[in-house]
Amino acid sequence: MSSTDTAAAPVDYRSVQARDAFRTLRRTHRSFVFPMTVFFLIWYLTYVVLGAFRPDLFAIPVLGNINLGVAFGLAQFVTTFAITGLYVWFTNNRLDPKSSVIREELEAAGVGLPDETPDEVVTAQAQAQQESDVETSAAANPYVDEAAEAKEAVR
Amino acid sequence: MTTAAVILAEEETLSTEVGSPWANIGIFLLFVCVTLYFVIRASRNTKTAADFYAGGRGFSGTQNGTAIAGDFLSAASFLGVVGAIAIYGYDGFLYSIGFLVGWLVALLLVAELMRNTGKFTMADVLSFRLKQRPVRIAAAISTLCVCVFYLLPQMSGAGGLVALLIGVDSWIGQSLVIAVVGSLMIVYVFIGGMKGTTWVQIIKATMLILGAGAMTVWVLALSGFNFSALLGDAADRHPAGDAVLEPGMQYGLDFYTQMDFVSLGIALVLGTAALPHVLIRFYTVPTAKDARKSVVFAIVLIGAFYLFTLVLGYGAAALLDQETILSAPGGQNAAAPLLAYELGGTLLLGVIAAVAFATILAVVAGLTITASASFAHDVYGEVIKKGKLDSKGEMRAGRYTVIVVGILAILGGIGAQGQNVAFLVALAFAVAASANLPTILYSLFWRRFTTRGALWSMYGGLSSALLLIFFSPVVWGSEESFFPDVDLALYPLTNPGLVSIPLAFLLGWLGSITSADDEDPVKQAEMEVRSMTGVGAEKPVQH
Repeated sequence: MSSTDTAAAPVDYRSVQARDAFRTLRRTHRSFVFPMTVFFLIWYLTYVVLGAFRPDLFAIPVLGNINLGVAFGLAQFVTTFAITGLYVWFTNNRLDPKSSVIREELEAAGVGLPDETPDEVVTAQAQAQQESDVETSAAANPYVDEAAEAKEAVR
Repeated sequence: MTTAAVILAEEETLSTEVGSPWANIGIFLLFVCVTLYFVIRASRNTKTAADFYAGGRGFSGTQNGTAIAGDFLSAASFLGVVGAIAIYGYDGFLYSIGFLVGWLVALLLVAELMRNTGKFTMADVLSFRLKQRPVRIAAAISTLCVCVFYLLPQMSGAGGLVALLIGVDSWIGQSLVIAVVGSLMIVYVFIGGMKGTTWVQIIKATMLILGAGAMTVWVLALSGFNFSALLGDAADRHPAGDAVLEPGMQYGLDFYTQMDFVSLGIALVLGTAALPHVLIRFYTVPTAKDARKSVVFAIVLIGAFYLFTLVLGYGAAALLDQETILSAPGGQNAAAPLLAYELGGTLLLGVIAAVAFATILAVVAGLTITASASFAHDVYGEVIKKGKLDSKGEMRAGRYTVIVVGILAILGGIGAQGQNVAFLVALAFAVAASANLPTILYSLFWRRFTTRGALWSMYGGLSSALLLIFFSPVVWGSEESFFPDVDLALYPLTNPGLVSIPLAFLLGWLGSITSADDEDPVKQAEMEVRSMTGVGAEKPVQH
């Protein structure tokens, strides 16, 4: 990544986004959270719809006074806890290692906070940029100095 | 009434018959003193806007998880769910499951990505890569709406609760109590900001969960730790018999009540992750990993708590007569305090009463800091002052807003006394799910999402939810309506979620594909990289 190494200028996020490492990270994340969300929503909606329209099913006894409805409801607690546990395992082992590689590289290259300035200011700054490149980058990103220091430290 | 929120907003004016008002007041005052100590301590380290709105981003995952549970478990959860199970049996239990499962949406799709991209508010994330001003204004409006809908029943509920707990039953007396609760809340938030509010939430959540846990063990011990036997006792004592163990007592009347339940279920599960006072809590921790830890810990606490309410609800049905509950001031909300009195007499009732008050106070404080952050940061700081406000100025604006919001909450609470406003809590979930969730998910996961899509989705979701509720049986034509004699209820359900949530998703998609694909691709790339990796995320404040 020569573009981030050469200057303390803002990182080219589009090139980071296009990288294989980042695309893998994004795919890994989505291939877990999307199917899992679909699963728990369907599982929950089945419970709600059955509870509303088929109370007779929920009344079937399972164990003593505990009927299918109580068991089904408690099963929702169990799956919620289980999915939470799975997600924590997944992020710790599969996602965090991938994301921290990219983050550490970018931070070492001097990425600070985003500029949160509204559109008009950005436009004004863009005009100013034509006049003076150096000044604007400092104004647009107050953390550039910090970033430069961080870069020094890395070296 | 169709919500677990049922609770608050009761208008009975019987005087208290159980316990000692002075014991209840004394224990509550103790809570106030302890929390005030923490709030004042927190104020010494509140110097910047990041301190005031985000607690300096210095809370640990466990602390913030406890605070999230404190923010989320309102009096509706405690008094409302226990009472609903005690009276309506299984139908009360159905609520608590929606409240819990909704947290998976927050955990899997929202919490970490929001922490990585935002600064103080939900609007920071939504407007990140779209046109700042219109999106920020829309997000601020929906945030303020949800906060108001949530605040009003809490405030007016404080009045109803005192009727039961300290024997104040006159209109003046209850108004005075609402004013005291509101003023205390203003003091907490004004002085302590997010740090103080977070400590209040942590203390309150601990009290609530320990108190409910102790009562649960006690109730289970009475039935020999046999849950099946407890259910049997409840069915024996309840006039409805075995029906309390099956769904349908509250929602089984006809097709519309059944659909109403489905609508409520959808609103609860999709609204949780879009409640602004929950979202703002993700910014109080140092990293996305801590945001994840907070949600995990919150899920454990909230899950455990709703299991407690299941036991307590059926315990109340087994140990108390239905008439005792229904004739008490506060009606079904009285089930939990009456159960406490039945078990542990004056002392336990005092503890539970103090917990209930603390719950209202803490939830109101959390909502107030959210509303104030939204107004001072989004509307005043970013839109009016165009982001040229320094940290001190933003904090000053936030503090003034706290006073204004607090006074409005007191006036609203006094005005809403005796009105049927508890439906507003369910409406708050439905509005959050319709106005906020589609835009949150689209902007995090869909590259082609545009400003027009965001505005259509947010305004469309908000206004459809409000219109549907306005033309629903809540307002017109049934016994509990504001206008019982005029039937203008064009929409047959009391919860708008079934229609407004899919509509908002549809509008977000439609608005995006019909507008030019001209959003800044660099901003989109930046948002995606930052949300996934946490690079450049806001750091904790160093003192």
